[in-house]
Amino acid sequence: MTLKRKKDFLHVFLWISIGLFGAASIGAIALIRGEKISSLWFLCACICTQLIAYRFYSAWIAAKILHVNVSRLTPASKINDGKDFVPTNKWIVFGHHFAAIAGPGPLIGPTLAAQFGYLPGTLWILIGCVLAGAVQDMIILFSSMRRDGKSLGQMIKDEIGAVAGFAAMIGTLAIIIILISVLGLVVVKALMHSPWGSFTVLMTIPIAMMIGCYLYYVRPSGVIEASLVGLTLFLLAVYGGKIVHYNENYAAIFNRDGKFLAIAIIIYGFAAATLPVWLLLAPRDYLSSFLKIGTISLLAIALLIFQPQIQMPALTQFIDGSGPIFAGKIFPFLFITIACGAISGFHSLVASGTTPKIISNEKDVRLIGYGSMLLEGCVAIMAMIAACVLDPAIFFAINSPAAILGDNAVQTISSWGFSINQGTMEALASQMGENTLFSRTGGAPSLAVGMASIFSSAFGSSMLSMWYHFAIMFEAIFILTTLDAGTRVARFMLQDLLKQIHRNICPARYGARSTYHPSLVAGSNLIQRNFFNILCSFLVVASWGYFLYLGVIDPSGGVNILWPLFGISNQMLAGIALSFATVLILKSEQKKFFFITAIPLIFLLATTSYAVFEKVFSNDIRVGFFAMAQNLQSKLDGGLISAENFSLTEKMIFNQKLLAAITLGFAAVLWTVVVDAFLLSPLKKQK
Amino acid sequence: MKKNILHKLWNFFLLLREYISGDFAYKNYLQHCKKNHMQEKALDKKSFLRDKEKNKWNKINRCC
Repeated sequence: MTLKRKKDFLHVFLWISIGLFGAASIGAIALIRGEKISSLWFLCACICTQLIAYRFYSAWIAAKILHVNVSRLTPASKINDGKDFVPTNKWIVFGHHFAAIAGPGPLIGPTLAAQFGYLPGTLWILIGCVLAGAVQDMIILFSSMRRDGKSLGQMIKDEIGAVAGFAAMIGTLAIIIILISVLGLVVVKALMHSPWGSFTVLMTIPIAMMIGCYLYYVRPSGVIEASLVGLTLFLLAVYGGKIVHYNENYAAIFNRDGKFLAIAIIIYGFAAATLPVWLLLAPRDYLSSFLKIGTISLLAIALLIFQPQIQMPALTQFIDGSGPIFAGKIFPFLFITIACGAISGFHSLVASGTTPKIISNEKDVRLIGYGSMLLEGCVAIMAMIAACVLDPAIFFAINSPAAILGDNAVQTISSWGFSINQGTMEALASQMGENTLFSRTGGAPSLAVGMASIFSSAFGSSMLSMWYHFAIMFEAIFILTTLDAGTRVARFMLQDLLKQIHRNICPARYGARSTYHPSLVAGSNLIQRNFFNILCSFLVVASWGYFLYLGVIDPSGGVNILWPLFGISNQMLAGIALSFATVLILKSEQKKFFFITAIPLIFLLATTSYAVFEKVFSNDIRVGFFAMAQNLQSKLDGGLISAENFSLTEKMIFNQKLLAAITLGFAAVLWTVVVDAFLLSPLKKQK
Repeated sequence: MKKNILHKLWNFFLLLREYISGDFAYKNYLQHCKKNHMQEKALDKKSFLRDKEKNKWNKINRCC
């Protein structure tokens, strides 16, 4: 054999082995019953599937459908304006893009979806990621790159039409509002009655501000040294929390209920969005990006060393829709609960933002677009493992709302077939440095317990509570970063939208290179402009604050309402992005391959529309908004509600109807784009 | 061969440091200014980085 043929043979052999090993791992996950399986199988299945998909599927799409041209100049090389458009090393762009797309979503979604058992969520992450999510990210990134870095909204306006563009704009604003409120809820639930956690997270704010001042006034290029100091201080804050937790006087100050924390976060959000970015947002973002990459790598290493056993059954009885964490059958609710990690519409906004402007060679879209999403899929799988290595009884005790667990939590959990006793939970809570771990909904505490037990098994168990609070802080700070950044962007978008409605205030002058630029705000007068900025920030904070508060006072935990709403809005955006991608393929010469985006699109349309239908019209009061409203109304009419709760109940009825209207609004936005894309605009243009 | 990989890794680390600290962006900006003959009007490093930081957060660059 010649050397080349030998090499080819080795390659073929290697890829066949990866394929077989991946298939064996998936087989092991799917078929082994009755004995505990190792989490290593999950990682193997994930990595092998992704390697195969990356090597073959993404290469095929890049070559056959996108016609990636290595010698074609990218906007970064063509425009190279020294500011936005700068050709950058592909691995750095990869890191940049990954840091931008991976937030708290892929950690929380799989944790919540673990209520169905480990199998459904894992399969959806494996399949959805390689066939839908990564394809969407790569195609949107590529098309934005070919259009000099235009945003998704602008591209939809150009390629489909103004109506679809406007719908996409409203949809984007709506998803940001819902995203922020649900993330705020996660933080509130994680810090509720937890002096240690509250103290640590509060301390991160002045620490980040100090770093911000240093970077602004002393050394703007000293990001690395400042971040190292910041991270050390963060660890000290975690340790400081321990002192607070064990000191009665201090603990009383930081032991706060949900309402207090919700209002604190709303005030914080408003302040943070009006402060200059260098003071808080930018420095904390550096810290949270480093923490994110560090913690995720650490988790991967710990999983490889420790290889914990999966405790959760493959399927639980909650696939019938009676789940305590969120209500609803496995179809369609699994597919909207796990959005980030499988397919997330929000990525299409990031993929049409900064990233396409800094890619130096077209061939890198495979690594950056497809590869980053695969890595996010890996993160989601790790979150799934962290949820499933917990004893299911403990998992459900932490994640089920108090209203479901009732007065006798132990008995309720036992009735689901998972045995637990009060003592175990109390011991666990004191090990983790918490007052209680019952009904700590939102996903963050259970993820933190999972991560803490993995870390401590791999690196020694003496610091269980430190690991736990480190994990809580880690989740909280990048949620707070998303909250700041989201509020700020939502403000610009709202201002943009108001301008579209009142064009005469200020002629629109934005395009690919200056999206949402603050100088375009209506009114040339500085005071007027500041007032307009503050007013719009207030409107944005008020909208997400409303939903956050609504989630916090909801007796069934809030997650049951807000997370599905977030999932629906995220999948709505994914549907919009995939419609756009399908239109592009249909318009190109590669029409016959339209199914690569059309199949995920049809699947998403089906699941999202069905989920909307269920959330609005289902007869189950925990699922359907109208059913809940009716139930409350009949209680009200029947005189079952005490006088002091009368007005609260009336408000709750209004809220249920409002949520129903918003959910229907999401479906309307999605279908507007789909109808405009496939029935109205492109066909007309082509004829 | 081994030395080569280590060398590459080290170079990448240097590049990463340059990128994170903003030196890379500023170098690029100066080059751009030079090419377009506007060196006199070029911002100093501090103002450039402050400006860059401010503009970074005007668009969606963090996700769920």
